[in-house]
Amino acid sequence: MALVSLFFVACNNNGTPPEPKPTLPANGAYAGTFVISQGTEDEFVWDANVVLTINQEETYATVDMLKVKFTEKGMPEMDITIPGVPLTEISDGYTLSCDEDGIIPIMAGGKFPDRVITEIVGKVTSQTISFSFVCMNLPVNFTGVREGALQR
Amino acid sequence: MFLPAVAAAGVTYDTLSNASVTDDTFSAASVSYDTVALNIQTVTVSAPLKRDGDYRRLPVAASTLGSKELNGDFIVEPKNLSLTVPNMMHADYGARMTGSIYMRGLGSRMDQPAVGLYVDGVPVMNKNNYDFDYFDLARIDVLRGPQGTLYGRNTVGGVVDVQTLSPMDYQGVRVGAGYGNGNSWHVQGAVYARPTAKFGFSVAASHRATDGFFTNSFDGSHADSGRSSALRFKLQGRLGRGWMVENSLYANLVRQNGFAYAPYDEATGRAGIIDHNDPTTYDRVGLTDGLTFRRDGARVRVSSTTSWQFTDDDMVLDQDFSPRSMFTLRQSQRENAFTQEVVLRSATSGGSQARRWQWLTGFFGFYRHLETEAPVVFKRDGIDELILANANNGIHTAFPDADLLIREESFPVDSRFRLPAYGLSLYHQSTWRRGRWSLTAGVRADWEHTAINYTNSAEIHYRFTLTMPDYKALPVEMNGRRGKAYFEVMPRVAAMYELPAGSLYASIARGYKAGGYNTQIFSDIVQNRMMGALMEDLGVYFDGVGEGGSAEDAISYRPERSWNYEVGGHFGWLDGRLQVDAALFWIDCRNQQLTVFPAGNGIGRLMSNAGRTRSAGAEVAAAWRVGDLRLTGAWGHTSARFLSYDDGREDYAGNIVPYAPRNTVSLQGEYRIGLSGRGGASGDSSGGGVFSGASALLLTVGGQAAGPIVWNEGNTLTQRLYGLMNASVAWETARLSVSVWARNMTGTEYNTFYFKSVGRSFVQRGKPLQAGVTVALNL
Repeated sequence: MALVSLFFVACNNNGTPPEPKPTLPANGAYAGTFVISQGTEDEFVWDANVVLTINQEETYATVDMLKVKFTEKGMPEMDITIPGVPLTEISDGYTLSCDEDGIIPIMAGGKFPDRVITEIVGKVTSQTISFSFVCMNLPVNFTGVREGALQR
Repeated sequence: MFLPAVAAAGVTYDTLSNASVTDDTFSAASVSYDTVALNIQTVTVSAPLKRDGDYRRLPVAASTLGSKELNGDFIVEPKNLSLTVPNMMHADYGARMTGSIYMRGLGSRMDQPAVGLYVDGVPVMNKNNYDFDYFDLARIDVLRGPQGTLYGRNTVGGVVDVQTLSPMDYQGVRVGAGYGNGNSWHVQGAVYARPTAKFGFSVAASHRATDGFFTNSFDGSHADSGRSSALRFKLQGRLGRGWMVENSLYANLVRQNGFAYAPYDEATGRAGIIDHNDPTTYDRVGLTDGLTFRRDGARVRVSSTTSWQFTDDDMVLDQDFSPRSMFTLRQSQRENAFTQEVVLRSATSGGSQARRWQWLTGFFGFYRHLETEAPVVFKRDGIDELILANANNGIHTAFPDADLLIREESFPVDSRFRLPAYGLSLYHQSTWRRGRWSLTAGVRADWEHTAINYTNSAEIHYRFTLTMPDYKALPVEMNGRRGKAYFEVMPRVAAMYELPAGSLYASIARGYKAGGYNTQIFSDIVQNRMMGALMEDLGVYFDGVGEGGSAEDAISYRPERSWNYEVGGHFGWLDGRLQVDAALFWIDCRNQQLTVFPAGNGIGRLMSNAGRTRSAGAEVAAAWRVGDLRLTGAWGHTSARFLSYDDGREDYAGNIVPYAPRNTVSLQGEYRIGLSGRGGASGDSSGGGVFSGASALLLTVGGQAAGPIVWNEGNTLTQRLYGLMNASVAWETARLSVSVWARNMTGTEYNTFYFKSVGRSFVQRGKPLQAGVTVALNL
């Protein structure tokens, strides 16, 4: 009876076996494009790579943005890390988010509280990633595909 | 001025008139009229088998200097050959390390030479040894145009063939001394002895010293002072069965302050003041031993020459050539080289068939092992300006209140290289004669392997003030090994037609200059890699910083190949009193090797390949003896241009190839005034002292000119045609000579070299007026 009970608990409401958990590598490298809205000016577009590292409990992710620029002038290419981005499990991957306080990024060897990243919204699957955030009042969007992933 | 008093019997000399002059007439009265080229057919061991007598009878453009010129006041070192030999430039690049010779528009500032140098049949393998004091010399032949068939690699411009005096041909004691302005003095001495008919030896030594002519204004020191010493010990003997042996040991020592470079204002064309705070010196120890066996058989002559060459030199440079502490370079090299050459040649005697067909076959092998240590030390000003300035400019665009700092006041970029190279060659040349025609055809197959093992490292401690409380170590390494093999075939074909007054010839020859590896660019590459690693470590990347960190494109350069097409002639009129040699040439060169500098504030230099160049020109040399007056002159013109050369920044097609003069001119007149004195009609003073016998006054006036010389591929900087005037007055007897001389009598100001370092221009100025007195004695 215990075994039967466990079986019923494991089943979903309509009796079919639960969906398998999505397989997501702990480190995923994605190649894509940043698009930064600059107010009344044209958008600034920059191709770059993003590396996603998920913790063992699958609750947080570290997002490493490599050699990125958000403006043509006034900013060299930089490696920017967003640590501790909360993850929420969904059917085919995870969503990315943050609370209203935002996340302090790491760059040039240290933390930059005056460049806090807010309004993180995003989704990551085994093949694709897309997310947006606001940094220094600039809305930033990124869309990328898993390096080595098949293009549809 | 030396007047070799010949005591050996049976020695003949060829004068300009090609008439034999025996030692009975070899006196102060007659020998001084002529270029005395010792042409010993049967006695001298080291007269190389590749040379077949007088070059004026061969289809080649050549200049010959005999003991008269070589013992005078104007040709005392290789640089003096410039302008005397048409289309030849051996410029003063600031130190005796750089033996850069340009011939007919082809040359090299570094690494592989374009002109080969032979001394007593031994090829000088290291170009750093090209600049040596002239003493104890019997003859120099300068062959123009590619000589690859007989002389192999790195003779694409020609060959300088030096022969020293032989104790089997000349016996006596010679001493000399001189003093001139710049506190320049020299002493020389030589003993030539032949104790038995089968054995002779000579010992010759020379020492020169000078305070130079330029001052380093930073500390008032002599910027181009130096001293050099040399010793040559030669043994010659006959072993029986027709075999002869010679061993020549040569040692030289150089210590100098060099590289007296002045900043150059490109807008005004003026050179500034020499002013640098770190030392610039060059030291060298060289040893060469050559062992030759030779046998002149009835049908075949054979010689074997083995050599060992050791070079240990040390160059120290204030590489920014300024009073600021930016960076210095020290390059220490140690090389051992071995060569072996065997030559077989048909005898010139042996009947009509032997005279119709003559042949020469040879084998040559070499091994060189060069070890180089070349640390570049970045000092505080260099760290701030060359490394941090660019980086902080980029930093401040994003972090205006932050700085990148490097803790070290100075740090070295250590570079060590091992460059082993070895090669083998086989060659053959045949000459057929029929009537007035002769046809020469030859070919050489040359194979060599060269490699580079490189070890480079540097470490700094850096800190980004905004995020890093402490300095962080950043080590960089760059190690590797490369190797390449080359195979080349060098043919030559020439036809000659004898005229009553001389001969005409036409020739086609292939030239080849070996490829190799750049060592002087590694400091740039490592510096760029260091900055790249710093940016990677920090995660901040600046435009234009850290680029050029790849060794792939810069580390090696390809061989240079050329075809030389030439017509010329050798003429003699007025019973040989008027001699004229002329040549027209066209050279098609592929992948000509050029020294280039990295863009911007780069600190190194590298050999690169231009796409294609073309040199075309003409040469005329003449000598005319009229009574007691002797006139000589030479003119060379070369138009050398890029047919295609794009270095990625600019297209230079159509531009003039830099560093080679477009014109070289020399004129000299000698007038001899016989004075009264005791002694026979022949002036024989063997029974008296040095002052006895007939005496004479020799007046010499000469002028030389060169230019224009373009200094860069863009042809924006040029040294105009410049002229130098020389003169001497000498009182001579058979045993004694006292002369007063002057070079550059008009004090012409000119530049001999131009280059850029960290974006600034520098020049080497030519020497000003030099004057002095020389005494020479034959005992």
